[in-house]
Amino acid sequence: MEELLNSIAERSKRVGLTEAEREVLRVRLVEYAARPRAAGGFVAFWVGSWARAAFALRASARPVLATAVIIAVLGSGAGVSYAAEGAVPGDALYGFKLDVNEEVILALTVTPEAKARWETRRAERRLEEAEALASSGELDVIKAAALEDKIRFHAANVEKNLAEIGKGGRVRVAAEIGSELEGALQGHAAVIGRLSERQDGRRNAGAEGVIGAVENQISRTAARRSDSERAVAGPDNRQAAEASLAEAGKKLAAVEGELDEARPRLPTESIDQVGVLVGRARTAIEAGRSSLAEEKFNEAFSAFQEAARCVQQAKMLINAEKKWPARSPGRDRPRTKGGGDGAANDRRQKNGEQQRSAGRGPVGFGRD
Amino acid sequence: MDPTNGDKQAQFIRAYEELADAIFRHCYFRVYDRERARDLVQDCFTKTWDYLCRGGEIGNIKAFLYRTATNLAIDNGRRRQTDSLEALLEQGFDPTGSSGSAEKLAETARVAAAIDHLKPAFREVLKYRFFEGLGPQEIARLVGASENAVSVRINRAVAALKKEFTIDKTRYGRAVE
Repeated sequence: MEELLNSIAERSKRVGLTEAEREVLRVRLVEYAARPRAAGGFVAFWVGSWARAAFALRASARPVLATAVIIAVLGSGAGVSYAAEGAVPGDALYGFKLDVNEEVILALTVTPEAKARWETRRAERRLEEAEALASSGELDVIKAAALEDKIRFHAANVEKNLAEIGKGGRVRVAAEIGSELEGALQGHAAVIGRLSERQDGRRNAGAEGVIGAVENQISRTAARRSDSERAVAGPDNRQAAEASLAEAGKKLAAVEGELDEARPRLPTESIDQVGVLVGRARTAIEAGRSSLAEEKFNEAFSAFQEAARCVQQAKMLINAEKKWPARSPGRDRPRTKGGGDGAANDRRQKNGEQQRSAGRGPVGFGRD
Repeated sequence: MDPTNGDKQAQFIRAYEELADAIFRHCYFRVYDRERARDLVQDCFTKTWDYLCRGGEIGNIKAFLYRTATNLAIDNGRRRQTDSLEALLEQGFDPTGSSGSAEKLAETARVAAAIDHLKPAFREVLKYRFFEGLGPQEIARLVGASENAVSVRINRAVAALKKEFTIDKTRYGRAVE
């Protein structure tokens, strides 16, 4: 088999565009790139200026300068900053959200723990944007690729900071943050899947791309988290397991209450999905208790962390149903190009989106 | 990459020149049709340029183009009937466009069809490795996994491919003999 695959690999090297095809595409691309476009205008310039300032702020690493810039941002750009918070890829203020709002917060975080938590939150924010786009049928392939890029970037930053935390001997904290990231990735992937399927009964390519990237990241994060959990040792491991049990128990009780409250409004599929997660959390807690009784503290800690992740996912599914309730079939149509459904328009209004630049799309860039 | 700058336009065109064949191969072994693959290459580059013009930032242009191409190919596959081995052979599966030996083409088509029956994670690494000629390090960068994890996944995927042939010998014929 290996021989066959290697001979195919050798032959596949010859697969490519012909000279003529390559040249035709090149000419089209050159023309396309040279096409004049409506400039981003004042908003783009202004966002760009703040982005450059934020970058300089991060690069400077001087607390006094950082504070001065932050005060200036808060003073003069608070309204824009607030409006940008609801922006998603493709919106005029999205760059401001990433390069100003988020970079300012990053500049304020000092410890590896705070940085890891903020980068976890940033990965979640990208996933929430994917959810917002999926809910309105706007998660196209290019927005998905951009979000995948950023999710990987934030997750890599989380891992880098978790390694720092681990080196400082705080393995338990590293395991907890790693577990939170994993739970968030799992929960959001499930929500994106559900929201995108609503559009036409199956996932679109953008959603599939994001989910694929998230699943790859989950296996990577899970491996690191599992290593950290195994390393939670020493005299305080009973304490770590007991604290983790208390936390998981509290979260489980809270989500059970939320489920009871939301049950009348949730579709059956979501109730079932949440029910399965709550069941898994209970089972994990029971398994953890048994391990605790046998003084297998690391196993107990892992089981309680698993329970916490299940609860985290269940909570996300409930919240997603609250945020984007399933609409009646007549309204639940995919958004058409140039048109827009109510949810997308509502989201845009909420985001304070500026008029989009004109001249986009492959106009006049015909095929053979 | 600032698209308003002429130098950046030139950089983007250079990226096309360097990566067009790789992106074409990537698309071809997902849609098995030269014309469709060529259209996807065009879409991939124009959409990426549009994204840059809207102020989007790209960390790694190569990884971004691969991801966009993957998503476009999935989207394309959705709108058209997925190709079966029989359909591939009947339609004249010919990746190089130069009508290579019929036997070799049939062999590659059988392997491609079998790979498409594997789970997505295995499918992805086998195509990168054996159809696109990428090494584990490069694949690791594209799928966001460690190099070690990718090597393990390739070995498992090859084992799964062997099993797929064993289960359905009548379908894949002489490919593994």
